[in-house]
Amino acid sequence: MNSQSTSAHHDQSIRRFIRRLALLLAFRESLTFVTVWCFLWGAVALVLRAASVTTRRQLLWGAIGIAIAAIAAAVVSRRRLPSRDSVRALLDSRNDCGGLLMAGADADLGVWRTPEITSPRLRWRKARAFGLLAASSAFVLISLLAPVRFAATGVARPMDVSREVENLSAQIEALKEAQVIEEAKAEALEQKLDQLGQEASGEDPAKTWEALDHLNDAVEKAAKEAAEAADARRERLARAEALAEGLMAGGDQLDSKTMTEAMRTLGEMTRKAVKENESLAGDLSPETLEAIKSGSLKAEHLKDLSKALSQSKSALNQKLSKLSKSGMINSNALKGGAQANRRDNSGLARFLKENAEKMSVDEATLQWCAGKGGVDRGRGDAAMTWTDGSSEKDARFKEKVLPPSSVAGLNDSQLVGLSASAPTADTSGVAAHGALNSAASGGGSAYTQTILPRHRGAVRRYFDRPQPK
Amino acid sequence: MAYGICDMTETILQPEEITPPVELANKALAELDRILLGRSELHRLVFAGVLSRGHILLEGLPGVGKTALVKALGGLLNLQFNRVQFTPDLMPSDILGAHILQENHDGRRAMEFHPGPVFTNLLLADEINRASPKTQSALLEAMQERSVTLLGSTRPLPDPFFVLASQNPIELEGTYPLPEAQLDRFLFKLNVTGADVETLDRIISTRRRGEPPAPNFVMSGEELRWIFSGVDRVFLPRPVSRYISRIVAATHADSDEAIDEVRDYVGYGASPRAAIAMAEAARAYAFLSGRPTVGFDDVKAVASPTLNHRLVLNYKARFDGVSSLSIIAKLIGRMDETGIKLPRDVQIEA
Repeated sequence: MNSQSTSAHHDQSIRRFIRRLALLLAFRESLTFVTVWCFLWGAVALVLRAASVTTRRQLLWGAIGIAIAAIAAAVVSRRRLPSRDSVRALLDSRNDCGGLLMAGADADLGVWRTPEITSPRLRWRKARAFGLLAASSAFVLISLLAPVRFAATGVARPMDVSREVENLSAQIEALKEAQVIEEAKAEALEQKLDQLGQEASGEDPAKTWEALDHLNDAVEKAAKEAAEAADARRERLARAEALAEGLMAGGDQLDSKTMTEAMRTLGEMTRKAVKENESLAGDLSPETLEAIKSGSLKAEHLKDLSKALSQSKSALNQKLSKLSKSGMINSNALKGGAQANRRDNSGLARFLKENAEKMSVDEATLQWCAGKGGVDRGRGDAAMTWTDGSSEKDARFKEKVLPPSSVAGLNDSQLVGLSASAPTADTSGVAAHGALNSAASGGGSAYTQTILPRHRGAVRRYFDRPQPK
Repeated sequence: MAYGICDMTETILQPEEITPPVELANKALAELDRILLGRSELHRLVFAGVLSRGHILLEGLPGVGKTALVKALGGLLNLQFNRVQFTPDLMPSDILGAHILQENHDGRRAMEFHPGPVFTNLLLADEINRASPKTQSALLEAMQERSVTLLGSTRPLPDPFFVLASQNPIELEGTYPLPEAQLDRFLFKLNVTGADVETLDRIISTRRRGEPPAPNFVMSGEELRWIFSGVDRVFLPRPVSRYISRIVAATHADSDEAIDEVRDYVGYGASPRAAIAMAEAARAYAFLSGRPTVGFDDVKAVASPTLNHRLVLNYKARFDGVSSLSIIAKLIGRMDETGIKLPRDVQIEA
């Protein structure tokens, strides 16, 4: 190998080392720059999201900065590259050339030959750099993906009450569907609900919750009032139905006066029911409607009327059942309930006849529908009286002998109060008095000792007698 | 070419040019090692100092062989050798020489110059710190300019001219520490330490009354000049010269590369003369190794004796017991010779 080829080989080694170093430095600088950029990006994203200035999609444009940072790092890393002379000096030093390799750059070496050049290894402690990069990347992800309520720190920080608003909205919708509240009232409630959802602020959550509670109360109150009104309508329908069924079943038992009053009363009830229940008019045939107006209801008219009233009542029952299932009303609290649905009205005519002199047909029907009463309690509106109270004469507690320990306990006891109940004997607290308390009758043992399982072997061995061989 | 050195030596010393003088120098060095036992490295440095044509200050306790070393060197080199025992009453004229009124053959009287012992090739200034500053200063011009000026006339000293001075670090009473200006004129300050057991055993078993044997080989002045010419042609690469410059600069507290010890303990750093001395000494050291170029290891080998006496330490260093040698060792140890600055987490491994 001549001098020129040696020199070329050295130059190649130097170039190769510089290239390796450049790649390493560029990668390292890129990591550093990207790490710094990620921290910056994350911080800016966090601030902008907190201020609600921009959207998440817009913030994703920051990813372009990673490429820019990497390019800038590559440019900056070139400035850190050592000169060729420095690398030549490094190779000279590491290969023990004694200055010969360095001299080759400026002077003719003649017949001198440098030893085989080996490039030193580059070592990069990269754990810290990668750790920081991972941390910065995580920071960016958290900044971009975290829910905005965690990031929002501005003055207009909203409060998430969407679930509560949805619940209330569903309740109002259910009331509307059931037609138990008026359209205007439902709209007013919905408007208030929308306003509350928009104005809910995290700065003063108590105010928002109070407003929600207030609205909830208003909805519940409206539902309750509407349900009570519906129940009243249902009751009136039930009375009209009862009267119609009663007249249909036993109208021939009534005298003409009572019959005329009953027909008039049924007509009034029906007209009122038609006014209150729009669907009822559609269920009635024109002949029946005409007969109601003229007060000359016949058997077929009464049948038609009874059927229509029953249908209207069923429709109301369904609405109330829906509200009850949605939890907005308590069906048990309504006066009508199941009682209004299952009633045998065949005896109403006889009841009217019996009370014709005492009350009007309307009042009699009301009393009939209020309930015939149970076996032992009378009608629903009957007064409650208590007679023949039980006597305490000759009433005594059953005597019971207490165990000695309890007597001893009573001697030292102190009165803290009296109760009307019989005393109970507590046998669990028997005192172990006496030396022979635990002695077995007829046995030779005067004392027993509980032996722990782990000691039993030792005790048995102690008492074992050697068997004579 | 950035430096004139490269212009001077376009082709470095070839093996056939360097080998004969190196063999001769190493023969002389081997002879010195034979005469004085157990101090090969010290002899190598002294010889490197001589080949650099520099002055050497030997410091050591009495009886460790300072004077014997210089005498052996004087005997080895076939050069004129004078010894001056410095005492407090020694006058400059006792060294430099004086004009004496003398009567010539025609009866007329005239001032005639009688050269002092400085007019020699190798001057042994024994216990130089015992002389007064005035007398010590008399050597300043001789050491630097290699000439003596008396009564307006300048007389050159013989070539080559070396001063090999010795001083005792203890018994400081009645001594005059060398001023920094004079210390700076010494190429090396070498500490001569005591011999180890092995060496002492060899000395007392092979030497009667400790007298060293006579040299078997004597180097002539011509041969020495031939060697000088070889040393002069040793190539100093640019990175190495830069390394020397960086080391010298780093001995100053205000330097970017100064280490903490320098900032804390060094009052004044080394002068540019130190850099020149280090470069010359490194050439001679490389030459003795038979190499035509100076490497970083040559610089490291001569850095301590070159800078040792050139760092002026402050009182804090004396208080903390910090020496120049320890500071130089740390400076050399921490400085990257190539000057490649890489991030801390990137390292170059062998």
